[in-house]
Amino acid sequence: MTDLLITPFEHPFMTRALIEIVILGALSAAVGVLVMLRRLAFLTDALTHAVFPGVVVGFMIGGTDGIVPGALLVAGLAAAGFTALASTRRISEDAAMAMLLTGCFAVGVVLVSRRESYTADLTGFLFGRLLTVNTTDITVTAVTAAVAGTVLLLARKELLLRAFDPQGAHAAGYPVWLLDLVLNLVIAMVVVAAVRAVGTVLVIALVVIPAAAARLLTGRLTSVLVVAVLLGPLSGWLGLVISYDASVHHDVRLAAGAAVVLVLVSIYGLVLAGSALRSWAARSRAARRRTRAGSGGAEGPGRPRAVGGPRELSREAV
Amino acid sequence: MSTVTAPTPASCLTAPGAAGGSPAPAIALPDQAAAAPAAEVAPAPSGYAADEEASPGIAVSFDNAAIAYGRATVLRGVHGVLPAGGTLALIGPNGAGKSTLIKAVLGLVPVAVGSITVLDRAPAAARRDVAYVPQADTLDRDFPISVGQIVLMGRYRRIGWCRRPGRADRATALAALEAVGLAERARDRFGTLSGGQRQRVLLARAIAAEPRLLLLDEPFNGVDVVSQDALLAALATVAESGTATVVSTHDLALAQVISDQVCVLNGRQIAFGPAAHALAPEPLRAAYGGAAVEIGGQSVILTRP
Repeated sequence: MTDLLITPFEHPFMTRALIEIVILGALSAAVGVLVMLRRLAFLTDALTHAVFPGVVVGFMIGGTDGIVPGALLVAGLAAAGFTALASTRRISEDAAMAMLLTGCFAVGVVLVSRRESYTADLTGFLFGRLLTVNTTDITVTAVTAAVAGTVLLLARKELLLRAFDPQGAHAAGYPVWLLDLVLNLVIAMVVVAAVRAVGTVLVIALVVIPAAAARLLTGRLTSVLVVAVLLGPLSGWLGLVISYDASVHHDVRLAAGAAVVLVLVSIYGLVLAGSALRSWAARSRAARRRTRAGSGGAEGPGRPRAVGGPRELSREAV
Repeated sequence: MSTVTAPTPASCLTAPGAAGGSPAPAIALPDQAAAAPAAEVAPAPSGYAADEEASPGIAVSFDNAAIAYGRATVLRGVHGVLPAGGTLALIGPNGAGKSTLIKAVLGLVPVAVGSITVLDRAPAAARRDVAYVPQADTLDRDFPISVGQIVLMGRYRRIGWCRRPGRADRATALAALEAVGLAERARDRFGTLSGGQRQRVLLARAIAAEPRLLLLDEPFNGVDVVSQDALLAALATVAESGTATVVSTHDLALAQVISDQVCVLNGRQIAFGPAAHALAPEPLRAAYGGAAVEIGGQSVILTRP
C-alpha cells in the first residue's frame, strides 16, 4: 500500500507534479474558504472562462512562457471589471457575468482555432498538463501562493467582516469595494496559477470543493480552514497516485488533473453522505427521546444556558 | 396631556381580520379630522428641541435635513438635537424613513437638503465613534462563525488593519457579551442562537466598539421577552456610560420606556421632542392615519394581523 502511494514519485516528473498540486491544492482551498463565505463560486467560474483568451494570446505571443503573463493581465482586468459590475445595482449581476464569460471564452476559442494544432492546444489550456510542469511553473505557483497567502493573512479580519456583514462593514467605514477588489484579484491569481497544471476548467473544483466538504464537517471557521487546506493537497496526491497506477499498471490512460478532480468530488460525496447519515441519526434519536419523555423537554429559546462555559474568548481564526 | 404608557402587549393591538384592507370606519372619520392638527404639529419641531444652544454635548443634530434616493425624496424636514448620552426613538410606520434616517446618520446615504452633524463632524467622518446594530435576520445563519468572533468584530476598527486582536480586545469583547447576558455562549456558532439572542450578540458587538453614538435598527422585532429584557438592560447600561443612542422601533411603549426624545416620522418629520409630547394622539394620527387610536386614554397603533 505504501509502495502504491510513494513509488510513483520516484520519477522526477511525478515529484514535480506532486509539489505543484500540493501548493496549488492548499492555496486554492484557502482561497476557497473565502469564496464559500462570500458565495463567489460563480464568479470564480466566470474568471476561469474569462482568463481563457488571455492564455491563448499569451501563448501566441510568447509561447509557453507567455501564458502566465497573458492570463494574469486578463484576469486582473476581469476581476476589476466584476468588482465594478457588482457595485452597480443597475445590471443583474449574473446575467452580465454570464454574458462576459461566454463572450470571453468564445474569443479564446476563435483565437485558438486559427492555429494548426487546434485540439491539442485547446485541451492543454482547458485541462492543463499536470505531468509536464517544470521547475519554473512550480516557482510561479509558489510565488503566487506566497503573495495570495500574505494578502489573505493581512486582510483576514476585514474580509471576514465584509463576508459576514457587508452593511456592518460599510457602516464601520471600511472601503468595501477595495476589500472586494482584493479578494477578486486573489481569486484571479489562483486561477492563473492553476492554468498550466490543471487548466482553466478544473481549477474551479480545487477552489470550491475542499471548503464545501470542510463546511459539511464542521461549523467552526478555523476548523473549516484547516480541513480544507488539508483536503486540497491530499486529494491532489491521491489523484496523482490513481492516475499513475491506472496508466502504468492497468493500461488505462487517466489524465492527472481530471483524476485529482474526481478524487475531490468523491471525497465530497462521501462527506455529504456521512453528514446526511449523521443528521438522520440525530433526528431519529431526538424523536425517540421525545416519545419516551412524552412532553416538554425542549428548552425555551431565550433561556440562558447553565453557567460554566468558557470564561475567555478563544483565540480563533481572527 | 394624555400619557402614553401603553404596556407592551397592548401597544400593538391586532385589528380584526376584516379591517385588513382599510381601517374600521369609526376610526377613519377622526383620521380626516386630524389632518388639520397634524399640519399644525409639523412646523413645530424646532420648538420641541429644547437644548438647541450648541453645547459641546451634542451627539447628533439634524438641521432641516431631507434625504433623497436619486430624485425621489424619501424623508424631509428632520430637525432636532440629540444631546450626548441621550436616547432618541424613531417612530413611524413601515417605509416612513426610519432606516433611511439611520443610514444618513451613518453617512451611507447623502443628505440632499439641510445637514446632519454627528459628534461635531460630517456623518461619514464620525463613523469611527459610531456603532451600528443591524437587524439579526439580515445576517446569514449558516455562516460558520462563533458568537465570540462576531463580538470581536466590534474591536476591528480600533485594532486597525493587518493586526490581530490582543488580550485587551478579547477582554472588552467578553465584557460586552456579559453586558447582554450571553458570556457563556461565546464559543457557540451564531446560527445556533435564537433570534433574540442573535440580536443581543449584535448589540454586544456594537458595545465592544466603545462608541459615542449607538444606532439600532428595529432591535426589538421578533424578539422574545427574555431577550427584550436583556436588550433593555444593556441599553440602559450604555446610556449610563454616556453613549447616545438612536433606536428605531414600532413599539410606542418601548419608545416611551427607553427614550428621552422621540422623533415621529412618515416621509417627513411629524414631531420631535420629549416622549410625552411627541407621542401625543395628533402626531401619531398624522403618522399612522386611522391606525392610531386611543384606548382608555392611551395611544395605541392598530396593526394588521
